[in-house]
Amino acid sequence: MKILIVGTGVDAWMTAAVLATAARGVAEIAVQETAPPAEDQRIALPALRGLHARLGIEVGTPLLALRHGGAVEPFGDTGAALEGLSFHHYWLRARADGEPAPLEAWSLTAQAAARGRFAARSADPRSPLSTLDHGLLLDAVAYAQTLKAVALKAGAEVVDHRPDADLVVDAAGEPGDWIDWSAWLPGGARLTGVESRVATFAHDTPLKAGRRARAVTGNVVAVGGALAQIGAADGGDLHLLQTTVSRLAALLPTGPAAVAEFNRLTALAVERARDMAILRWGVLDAPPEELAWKIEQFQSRGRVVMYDEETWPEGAWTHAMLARGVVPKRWDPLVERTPLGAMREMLGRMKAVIERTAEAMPHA
Amino acid sequence: MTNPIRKIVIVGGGTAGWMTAAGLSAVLKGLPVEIALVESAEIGTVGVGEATVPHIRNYNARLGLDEADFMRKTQATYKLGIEFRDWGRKGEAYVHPFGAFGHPIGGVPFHQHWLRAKARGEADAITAYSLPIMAGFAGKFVPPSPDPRSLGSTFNYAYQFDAALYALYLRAYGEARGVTRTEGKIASVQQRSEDGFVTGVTLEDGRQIKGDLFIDCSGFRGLLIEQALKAGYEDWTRWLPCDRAAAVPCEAVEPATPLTRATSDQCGWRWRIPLQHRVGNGYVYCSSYISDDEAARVLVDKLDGKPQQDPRFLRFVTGRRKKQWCKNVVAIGLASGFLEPLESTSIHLIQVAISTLLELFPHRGFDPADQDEYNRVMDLEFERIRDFLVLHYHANQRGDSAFWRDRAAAPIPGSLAAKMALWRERGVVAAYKDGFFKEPSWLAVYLGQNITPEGWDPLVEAIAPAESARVLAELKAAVARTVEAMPGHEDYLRSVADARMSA
Repeated sequence: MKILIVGTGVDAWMTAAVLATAARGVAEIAVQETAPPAEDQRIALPALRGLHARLGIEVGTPLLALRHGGAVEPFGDTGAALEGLSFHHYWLRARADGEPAPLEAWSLTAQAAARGRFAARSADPRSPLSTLDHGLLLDAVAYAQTLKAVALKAGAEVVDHRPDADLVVDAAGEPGDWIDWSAWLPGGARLTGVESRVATFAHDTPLKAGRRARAVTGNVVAVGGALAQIGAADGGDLHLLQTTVSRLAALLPTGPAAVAEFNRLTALAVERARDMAILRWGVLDAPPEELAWKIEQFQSRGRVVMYDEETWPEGAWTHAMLARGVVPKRWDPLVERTPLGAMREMLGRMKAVIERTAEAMPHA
Repeated sequence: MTNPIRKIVIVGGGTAGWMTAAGLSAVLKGLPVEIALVESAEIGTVGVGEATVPHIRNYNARLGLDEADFMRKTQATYKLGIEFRDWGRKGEAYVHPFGAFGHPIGGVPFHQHWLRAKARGEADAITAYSLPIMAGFAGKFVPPSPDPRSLGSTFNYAYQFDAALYALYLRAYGEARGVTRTEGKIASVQQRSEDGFVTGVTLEDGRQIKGDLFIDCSGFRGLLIEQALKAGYEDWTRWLPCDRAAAVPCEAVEPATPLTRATSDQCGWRWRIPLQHRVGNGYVYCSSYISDDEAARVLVDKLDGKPQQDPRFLRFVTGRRKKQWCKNVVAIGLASGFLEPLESTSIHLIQVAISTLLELFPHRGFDPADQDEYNRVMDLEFERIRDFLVLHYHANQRGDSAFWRDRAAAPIPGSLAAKMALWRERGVVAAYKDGFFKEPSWLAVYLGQNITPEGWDPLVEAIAPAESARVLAELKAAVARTVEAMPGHEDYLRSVADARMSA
């Protein structure tokens, strides 16, 4: 089987690295590089470190949180689920009782960032350090070079023509049927700075928001920026690239049923990542149906609805909702099984442990 | 929080009613909420779902039940899966196990390697690579090992029990935790004139029971959800046309197996559920193909022991309530819909309903968002189980009766057709996050009913065939060794009972 990847930068070379590694000895991977890669910085969500480990690479500098204008949105866990209920329900009740601290006071990751401290996540579930997590700040050119080295080592080849191929990966953004989302996302996010491992964004990047109507058309599959434009420079874009490429390896779209399933799952994944972009900086007047449902559920009772093929974990949705000013009208009534005084005390103790632990972490 | 629910009224006992009462009393402990259950001894319970799926263990654990005590009081046996006889071609059998088939090789699912090895004549039947299947066939059982590196940790288990005894057991549990039980037949339902919310029920003797939240566990008729609130019913009989069942317990003539059995018959299928004290049996059939008398005769003729009573008949319409939660009424159990117990999902659906209700537990203002989300979650659960059940009927090659020829020819839901196309093309099981049946379940039925993929994952070729064959052979040998070392199912049951006595 022959696979031709047309494109450049991280989009093309992550695809090549993953496919060449997974399909070693099965598929010939050729890469036709287009215009030189744009030189910028990219952000990876914590989950991307799993891929890096599988590819045997170490890249980037750790990043602890995102800030889109409102509150800080830390990676890792915030608080701990108690009695089967997400932590933010307890916080909502404490807040109504006069607790002044914001939700991120119970995030060790956020508290470490606020103190300029850093440690890697602990594998010991009893340690407070197990609630930490970090994303990555990546230099796009260096990252693409690292991925390219992995791909070439696994047998991918650079070509300067377009050989016949069974499957062509479009990582260059060639035109195709486009579904327009510019009414929801008039602009994209732009990294404006990183301070104490917290990335801050403005939302003024020109954007032609939307997605390719079908990820696969004929024998061409679109990935990265060619597949969708949601302006998610906050890690959403890169994560979506990774899930698309992993899906390619798991479900090579070479037959009609595999193509249909690939298109179905990819559309779901792109739309769920889009919903987060809209929630963070888009227009919320008439959101897409699934996002409207998510907002309604969160606003009504603090429930985070998770659909198939989500990019962002539950905690990220909670922080993003609050940062955008979507505050639940009530908390889960089951929280009230714990008497208010005892609950306030417990939250106070948790907060103190987090502060102590953060203070004891090494300076970043 | 303002407006908390002060009183929950559960209408109907039986498995659904008492599972709900016990579950709510355990989880809502600490809240000032009263739980009342109304049931009538005159109205019999259905009690069909005597076989369960592994999730039941989570429910029991949440209640803090002692396994040995629970098993003794409900005459329970262990269950490793369901054996399907005569579902592909007559004379064939396969097992839907509670556990995966092997582990990925080189990042590619085990069954993909198996498909290639099978085509090359280098693999045994898929059953040989499943510990719960081989243990089930051998009539053996031990609980899974806690060591995740051990092959013995790669399966799960459920129970087969007497649902009537289970309901009694949970009744004692609930009553000990403050659930009040009222005996009586409901004569009328009171509703608020402005919005139709149910405010109370009146019994034949004139007593009234009021409440804030009502759980309708009244069975098929849906006393509150349908008769009072007219929630509507979505009929699925065009896909699952069986509409009756005859049930009869019989004496056991052989040691209890850790497998529930579902055998296809001329006009439907028969269940066989071995318990400690008896074997539960039934025939699910379609009344337009066979009469009640004939179905009962077939059922009794094919029992392996002496029947303990005359067959009882049940009537049902496959489908689901259009709104399982409507206003301040939540329907749980048969009042919420009916899917035949082919994959032992009746009790599972009760359990999902209880846990979803607890996740979305309302306040007295009843924000419509709660019922909307509840109905979305339950609709998805019902639909995904429906597709899985339809597959069993659709993918039959019996051809020896009008019923089975019609099932093979009948249209199937589009969602199922897409899943089957993907499987046929290259052996991939369509992925979803919510819904009970996952890859190993679909795999077992596809392969067991001779739906053979035309190809396999091209990335299998990254591993040499000899390497796949080696891994397969090692797994098969390890499964055989592990099964060999396991105690017999009945021996294990006895050892659990003895350990309890001497404790």
